[in-house]
Amino acid sequence: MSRFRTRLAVALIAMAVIALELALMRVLALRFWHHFAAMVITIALLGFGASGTLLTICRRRVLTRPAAWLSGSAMAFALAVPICLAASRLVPLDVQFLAWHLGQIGYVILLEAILLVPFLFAATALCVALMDVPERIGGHYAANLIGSGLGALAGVGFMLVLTTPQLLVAVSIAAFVAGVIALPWRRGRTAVIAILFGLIVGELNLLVPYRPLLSPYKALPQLLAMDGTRRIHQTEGPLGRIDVLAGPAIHAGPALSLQYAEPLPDHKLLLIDGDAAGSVYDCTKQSQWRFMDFTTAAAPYHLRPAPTALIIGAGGGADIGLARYHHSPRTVALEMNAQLIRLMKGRLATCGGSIYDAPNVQVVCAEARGYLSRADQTFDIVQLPTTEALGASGAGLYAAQENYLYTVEAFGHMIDRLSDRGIWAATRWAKTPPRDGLRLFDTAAQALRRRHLDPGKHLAMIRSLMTVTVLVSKSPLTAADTAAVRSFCAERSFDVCYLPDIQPDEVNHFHQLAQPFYFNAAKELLGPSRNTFIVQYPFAIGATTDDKPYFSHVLNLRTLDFLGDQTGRLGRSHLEMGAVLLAAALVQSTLLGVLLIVLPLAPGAGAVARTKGAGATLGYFLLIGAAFMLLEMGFLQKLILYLAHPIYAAAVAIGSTLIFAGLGSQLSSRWRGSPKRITTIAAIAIVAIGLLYVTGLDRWLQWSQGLALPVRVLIAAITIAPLAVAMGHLMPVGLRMVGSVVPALVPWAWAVNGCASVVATVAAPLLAMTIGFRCMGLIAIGLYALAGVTGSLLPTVHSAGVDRPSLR
Amino acid sequence: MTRRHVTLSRTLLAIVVGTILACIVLGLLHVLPIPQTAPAQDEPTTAQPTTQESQPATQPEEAWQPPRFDARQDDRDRMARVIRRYGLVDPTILKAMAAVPRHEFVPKDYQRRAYADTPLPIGFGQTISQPYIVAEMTRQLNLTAKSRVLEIGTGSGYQAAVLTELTPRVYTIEIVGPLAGAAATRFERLGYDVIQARHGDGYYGWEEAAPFDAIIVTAAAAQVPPPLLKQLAPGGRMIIPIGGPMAVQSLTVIDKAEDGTVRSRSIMAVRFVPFLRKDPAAE
Repeated sequence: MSRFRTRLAVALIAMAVIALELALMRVLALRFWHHFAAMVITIALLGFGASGTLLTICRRRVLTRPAAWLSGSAMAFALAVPICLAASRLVPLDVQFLAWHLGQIGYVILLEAILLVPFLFAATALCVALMDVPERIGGHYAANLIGSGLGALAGVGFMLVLTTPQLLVAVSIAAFVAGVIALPWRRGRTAVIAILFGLIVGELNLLVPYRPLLSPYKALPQLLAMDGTRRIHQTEGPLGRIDVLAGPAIHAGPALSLQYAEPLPDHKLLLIDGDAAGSVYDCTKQSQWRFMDFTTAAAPYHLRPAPTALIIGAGGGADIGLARYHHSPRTVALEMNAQLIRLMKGRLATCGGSIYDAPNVQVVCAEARGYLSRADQTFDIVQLPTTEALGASGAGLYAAQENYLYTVEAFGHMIDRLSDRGIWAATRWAKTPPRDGLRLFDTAAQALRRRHLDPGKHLAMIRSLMTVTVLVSKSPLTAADTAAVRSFCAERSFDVCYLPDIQPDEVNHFHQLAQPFYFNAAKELLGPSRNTFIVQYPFAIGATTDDKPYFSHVLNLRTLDFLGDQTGRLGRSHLEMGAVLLAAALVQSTLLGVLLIVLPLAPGAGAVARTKGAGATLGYFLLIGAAFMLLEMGFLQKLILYLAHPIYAAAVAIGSTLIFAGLGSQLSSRWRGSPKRITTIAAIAIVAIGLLYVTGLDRWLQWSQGLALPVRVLIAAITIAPLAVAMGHLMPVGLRMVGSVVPALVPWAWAVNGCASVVATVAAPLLAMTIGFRCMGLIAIGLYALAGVTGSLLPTVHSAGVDRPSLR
Repeated sequence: MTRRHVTLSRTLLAIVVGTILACIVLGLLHVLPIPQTAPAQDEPTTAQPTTQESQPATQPEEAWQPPRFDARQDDRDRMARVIRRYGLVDPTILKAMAAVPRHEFVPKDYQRRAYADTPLPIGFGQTISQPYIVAEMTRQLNLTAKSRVLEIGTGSGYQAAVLTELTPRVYTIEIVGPLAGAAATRFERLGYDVIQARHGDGYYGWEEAAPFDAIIVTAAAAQVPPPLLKQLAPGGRMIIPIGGPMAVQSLTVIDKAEDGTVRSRSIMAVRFVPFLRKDPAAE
């Protein structure tokens, strides 16, 4: 088969793999929660590892008809997509009971095994291409990376125009086309086979179209089961599926004071990916927003009457309504989800959405960090409402998700946007035992300290039975300010937790805890023993930073000890499912990875055991597999902050890394030096550029943060380019060296690399939670340095003429 | 590579793959129940009232004797011992928990786990709570034989049945129609005739039967419905789990004083004593 056809097929398959990953993330986020969506990358990479192991064992058979194997695998990939998606619907995994019934883990494994199949076929096709003659490997591998990169960039566009089921059909068709391209056309029966496969793929996609499933524990199916509830809108996009429900059974008010006894205004419920995300209140008069004045979030408005306000997260518009109730002369509300803005101004305009177009209100489609870095206006109030659903927050579903809004640096930017009389306020759900509220307080205190302000004089903290609100004043809180807070709280039965002039006898009155935990903790966090208190507290409540932006991750080893000792099996109700699932995934992928790597070492299984160079091959491909993923994921985090949009950042970071790595891969076959020399030089380049980035990238990105998005995208891509080009050299050069001497090691090297990538992908967030992104980057650079050393131990290339078939 | 080696490696591969498949199949067929989305089936099983005939709905509440069941009494006693280990030692509550046949309130597929120390699904995204939580919520209500209690969220009806062990004046509301219907049939079959069950929106409470000495909300909520506060009698108490469906351990007790003022209190499922610096100002 010609190089062009092989590479076209490879690029199409690689593109389809990325598109399938994106589609599956949506499928799993809807059916379960987003931490299951993150599982998709692990499954995909595991498929790559498994394909290498399979081909190591079946290598001789594959090499007799490589083109047929490539084509067949691609077509099997096309068939597997609809079949496995349909089969996955039958797995009765019940996430609610994961912590209670260990048997549910069996269903998780079964689901992974089913979803692994399409990736296994796709990766088999890609690996068969890499088993071609060594001099072609660089180009084939480049096609693979460039295809993946284009898939990542195009994926966002696809998700804007296609629904998830349509995207799945597109993946299946792309895989089928790749299979047709790779068909060994010299054989007469190929046209018949192609037509037959095409008919089957078409029929399967038509007959068993994928219908998204939703967890029965999500709000959407529960509300739809109630009499009179109707869906008035549904839309889907890269940031999730939005549903709007109306009906008599919807009572989705905010966390109101127990003193509020009046009925709520008519409202619709907004749901994102099936979970309640906010309400849209149909208030035609300003006075109808009075109910919002009975939330702890209303406190700053009682200190600064008629303020200008910045709302970070407009959502359903309730916080805009609160600002309007207090006669704000100018309210700017940020909303990242453009679909939501269109919905509010369009379909919902006549039933509450008009708040987005109210007088003196400006809704800006922007991510907060990006907006704050560019805006030069100041506000009397900056409001950071709680944006997570209460249930998801309580269960720690966001524990493994980065949040750049709740960091010392972010709070600092928000405080900088305050006018001289300004108040910043943030609200979180109150949890027992206290954790999020205390972390919010400490993060705000650290932000003040970094600005050389005394947090003891600028901070206030209040709570209801459901929420905790922390207030930060740009200027020290006056006696009049603290009196206003006390009066506000007393009228609403809210508890004062901290004020600069607080007295111990005025805390823990209305919603009583066993002890005045918040007051005591606030004293500790502002005092000289802060560090000791944080270390000894049973939950992680210390301030979060951009380097470890995991605000919702409050579990640590002390927590597990504490929960185990104190509560026995009840403790599991306090476990954060996000972090627990990550840890479980790490254990599982490590075990499977080791199995897949070790399996070909069994006597006779692919002639890998006792092959000269097997040890160096193992080390080299393990190191570059793990290092590539750690570095890529580290950069992804930097770019999320820089591009101020998670979807664009993911597309640009992954797309650019893969495309430039592909170019590096193509370039690697053009150098005249010995392969060992190339690996050494590439490793040195990666270490040098990596160290430069670890030390200076933040400043470079901050310097250009204020530029327009297209320019920042360009700068991000250019920044990634030199590193990615160097990274792209190592894999194909290594494969070429190994393939020239011991061809049997090529698929095994592919498996080793895939397995290392899996473990690194899962380990990256856990590493980042523990040691931060900077240290994670340093580890990745260290691994690349080791890979450079190990590369010199790979089998030498002076054995040209090894007899092996090609894809011709 | 010899033929023997090839055979050996293939055998090894077959064993590994076979073991994984066997684990999955075993897990599916034997170890794991297949969850159903349908509500608990209301079919007569082994448990019928043994010491109490089904009572007519008009039976005077004062004469009320809860039905008694022999089936799986050992399981219930064991469950009560587990609850005791959590620190709940109130004999009245433990006796109530040991009396109500929980297995009658869970779907057929979960019969084996009916008395396990775990919540269980009952369909429509609803669950029957962990036995300890049922016991603790019941204990917190401080019920007497004359208490009038409203339950929001009937579910399978288990919590309401437990409440009848303490008072015959039990009112319960369920918003999901099929669950409400199944629970009503189950109450009738098992002889819990004193329970007044209704299909409706619990947010508005049961105004005609108000005021209530106690209100128990079994569904996790993000707010306390104002109508329920109104229907709580002076001196009454409400218990409500605050949080989402996956984090319901934050139980909140709301007390209404005789003068109508309300205060709330968190019940921690954990004995939470964090390190605190000795500070005279904080005493």
